Amino acid sequence: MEFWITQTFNGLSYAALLFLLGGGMTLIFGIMKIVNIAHGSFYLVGGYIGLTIVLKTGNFYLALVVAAVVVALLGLVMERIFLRNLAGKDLRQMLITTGIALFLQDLCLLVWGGDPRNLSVPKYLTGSFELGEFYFPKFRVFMIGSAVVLFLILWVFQEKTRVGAMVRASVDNSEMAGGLGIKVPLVTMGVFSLGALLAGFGGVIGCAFMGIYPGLDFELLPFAFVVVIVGGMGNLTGALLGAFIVAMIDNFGKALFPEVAYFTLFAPMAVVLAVKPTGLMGKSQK
Amino acid sequence: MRRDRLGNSWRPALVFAITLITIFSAQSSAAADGPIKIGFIAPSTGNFAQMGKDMVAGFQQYLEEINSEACGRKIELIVEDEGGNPGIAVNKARKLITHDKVNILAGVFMTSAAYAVGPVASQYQTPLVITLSAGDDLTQRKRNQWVVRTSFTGSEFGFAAAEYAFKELGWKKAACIGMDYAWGHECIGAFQRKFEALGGKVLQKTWAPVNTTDFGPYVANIDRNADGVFDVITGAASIRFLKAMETAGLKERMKIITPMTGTDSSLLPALGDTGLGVYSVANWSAVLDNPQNKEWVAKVRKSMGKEAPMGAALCYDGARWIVEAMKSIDCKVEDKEALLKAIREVKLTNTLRGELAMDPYGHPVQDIHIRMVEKSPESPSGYKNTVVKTYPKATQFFDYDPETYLKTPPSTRDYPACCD
Repeated sequence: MEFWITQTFNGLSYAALLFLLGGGMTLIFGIMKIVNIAHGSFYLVGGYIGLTIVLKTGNFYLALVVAAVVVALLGLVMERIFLRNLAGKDLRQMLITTGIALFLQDLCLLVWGGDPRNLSVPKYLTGSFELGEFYFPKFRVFMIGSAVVLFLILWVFQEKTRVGAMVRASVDNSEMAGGLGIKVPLVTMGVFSLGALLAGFGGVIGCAFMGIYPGLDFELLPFAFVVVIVGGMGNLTGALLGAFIVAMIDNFGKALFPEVAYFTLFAPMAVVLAVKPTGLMGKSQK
Repeated sequence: MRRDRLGNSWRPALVFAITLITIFSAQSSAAADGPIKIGFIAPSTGNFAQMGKDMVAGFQQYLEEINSEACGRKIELIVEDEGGNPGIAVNKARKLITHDKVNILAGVFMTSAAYAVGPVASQYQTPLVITLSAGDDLTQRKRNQWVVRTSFTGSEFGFAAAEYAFKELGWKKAACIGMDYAWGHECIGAFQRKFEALGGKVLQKTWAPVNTTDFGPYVANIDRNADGVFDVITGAASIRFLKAMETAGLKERMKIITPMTGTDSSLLPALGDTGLGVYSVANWSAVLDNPQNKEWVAKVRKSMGKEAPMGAALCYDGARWIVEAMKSIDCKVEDKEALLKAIREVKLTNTLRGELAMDPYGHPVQDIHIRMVEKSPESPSGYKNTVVKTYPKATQFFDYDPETYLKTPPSTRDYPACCD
């Protein structure tokens, strides 16, 4: 019994991290139909900025906000300057995001060095809740909580607000949306920044959870891809579902069958691609 | 673009030809009083970029101390990026030998890269002095005369860890967990052999993928009946693993031993209090008590702004080894056989690790230390790896007879077999 409860909890916290990573990427893919290779770099830059803020001010929440905002601005600039003119040219967009990713990684190496770093969280987030013989690390609870709250905010925004409706319209049919007077380029820019913001936010949380070092950006990219593919590209709820499924399978897979640990992460993706290629909640592409 | 009568544009061809001619004429001949060239292969991009930087910094620092010259000849260091995979390392090794005409290849970080570059050294008969990479068989079953090592390997660390765990820490049952690659296989393989030969029992041997981000499931699965854990989880992942052990409350109940790759000075700042009490097997520590080491560590605190990392320490010693060997043959490095013999036979007395010499298989005979992480007010990170036991002048075979040991299979994922 202890095994199942502990592992489920572990899986949930891992899912939270994967959602933060994959959620941003799925939004970006949904609106722009490009795969943002620099997504891992957004995470990395966010984590490092958060680290610096915590070192300078000791305020974890300030770090979360500042890092998210800075990375959002980075995304904005990147979209406006580099990606705007390449609309529709998939390969070139992918290439340029790859180039930017390599550049950002090296920049981080230059500024923060290559040794692994860790972000210290407030004291009340360290340690664990002890219920009988179970340990529930407080920071993992925080991770689950933040992911859920963030998802709810985004969901309300997307489904219940006018701006959200404009976003959904632009994703579904950008020409029609443009014809109705929606400023599609502005929406695109906004969503890209939002995706970057999520990644930056995830970077700070991830830095506190598992440390940060150059190279982590490309290590985490496959995880983001898996979440996006399983959940359906462009769908936020799909990202949550995808993150949950992938994290659970991976976690239990590693715990029960460690010999196939490599397989457990990508098995769900392979199955989904074979059975429902657009992802669990994705729509068929035009 | 001009085209000739056939419709081919000749300008690009002309440029290409001129480039080729320039490249070939730029190669200098190896004159006996020209510069000595050392080709150094280390990662400068990717996950291990910092390790590569440390390695190059340590190697260069020694060269700077001798003004980059020996026997009146200048020493030229040419550094190439090992890249993320052995194929790139092999290309760079070939380039250094055939194009840059280096007299010696040095460095190498990844075990897989070392195994790949070894045959290249042999093919071109250029000495390869591995100053960091592990990989048992490079100096055991797959050794060749052109490849030697000045750093460490998994077998000596695994044997020493088992010896210490059983005899000093009193472990009867051990749990092993390692990253699923050669370093993990070889350290744990050696540990298991020695631990069980002494009378202990290894309860489980778990392999985690190299890019594991969350060690939660692995930590939850560690056999609670074990007296301690031997973990071969390195670098940033070591921090994640140790923190996971701490949050699960296991760090207090079970002692942990890891090779020096898990508690290196470069990791101590991020590890923080989580590292306290963790044992490590090492061939060097920043707090080794000899005059060379003390002086060097103090210098590095100023030049690198942090506590000396193992990459720098091992490559600093590696550079000294190479230069001392060269000096012993009056720097006649063009005589490759003589150079190789010198590297294998030179005896060093004032390295950062004390006295060093090579065993007949190309691996150093050196002190192996067991260290423990403690607080330290003088260290820039606030922590240090205190030496708690030394096995002096240990070899890669520890107390096994070399020829007998070499007949046993190499340590792999499944050998020795575990566990019932």
